[in-house]
Amino acid sequence: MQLRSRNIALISILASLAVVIYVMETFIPRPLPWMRFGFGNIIVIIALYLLGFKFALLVALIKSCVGALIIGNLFTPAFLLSLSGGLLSVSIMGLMLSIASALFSPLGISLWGALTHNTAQLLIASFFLIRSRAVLNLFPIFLLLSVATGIVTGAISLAVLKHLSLKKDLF
Amino acid sequence: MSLYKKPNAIRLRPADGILIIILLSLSLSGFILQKSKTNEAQSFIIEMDGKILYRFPIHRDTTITLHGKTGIVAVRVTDGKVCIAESSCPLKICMKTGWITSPGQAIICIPNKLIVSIEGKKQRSVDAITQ
Repeated sequence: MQLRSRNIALISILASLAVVIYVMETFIPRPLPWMRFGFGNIIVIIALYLLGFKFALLVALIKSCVGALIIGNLFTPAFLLSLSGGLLSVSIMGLMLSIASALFSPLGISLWGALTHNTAQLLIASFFLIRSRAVLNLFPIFLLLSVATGIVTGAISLAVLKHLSLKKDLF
Repeated sequence: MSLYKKPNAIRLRPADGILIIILLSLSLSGFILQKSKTNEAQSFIIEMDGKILYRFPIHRDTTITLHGKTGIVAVRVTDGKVCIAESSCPLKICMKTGWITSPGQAIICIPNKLIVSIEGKKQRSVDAITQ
């Protein structure tokens, strides 16, 4: 992990973008209280493609912590869910990108991320927070939601990355 | 070289579509599995004046005659469906409700203070929500 000034600047820009999106997203009315679009994930995916896994992990960590600080749910169950889901989803996305980068586009990677995020949250909620197996009955709904949100965030990151890759002298 | 500079890495691939299809079918099969598990009507309950009078399995065909506030009410059970066959109440709203078949549904007759409802194997799955 090279902490050259260029990288520090890039991390700051990406992390602040992620935090702003994360906080703005809470203003969107949600049909279900625990549902999130996860637009902040767009930035994490872009960081993953631009800078690599370690930087993306850092962006996700900053997104969850600073975002929670602003929303005001730091160290609440919702924050723990968001943090663990976020970190796990970056890890799986990084893993998928390193073993199968020729197989999946950012859309597929984003689907893996959404899937991991939702599954992790569901498992943590059912084993640690609520301690009831009944929560697992929500799994099909969560799966459906992850496909929907994964496609939306994936399509946006794909478009952004395509645009960035056309710029010859970005870095 | 960053990944995004590789033209192949940011193009839509067949595996994306396959992943979407696999996830959708998994979710669909989960829904179907749950539907068959939870939506089975098990028994029906007849409540009058807040007290449960009868709780019978729904798969035995019977007709139960009750004496309510306004007179006779007949509850009929056939093929796992329940309806009010006859009622002495003035508006007959309970009779017009028709057949009820799945857990959670109910027929209510206000003049007779009567509630006929269907019970399933399972109660609602959600018992807490964190936000």
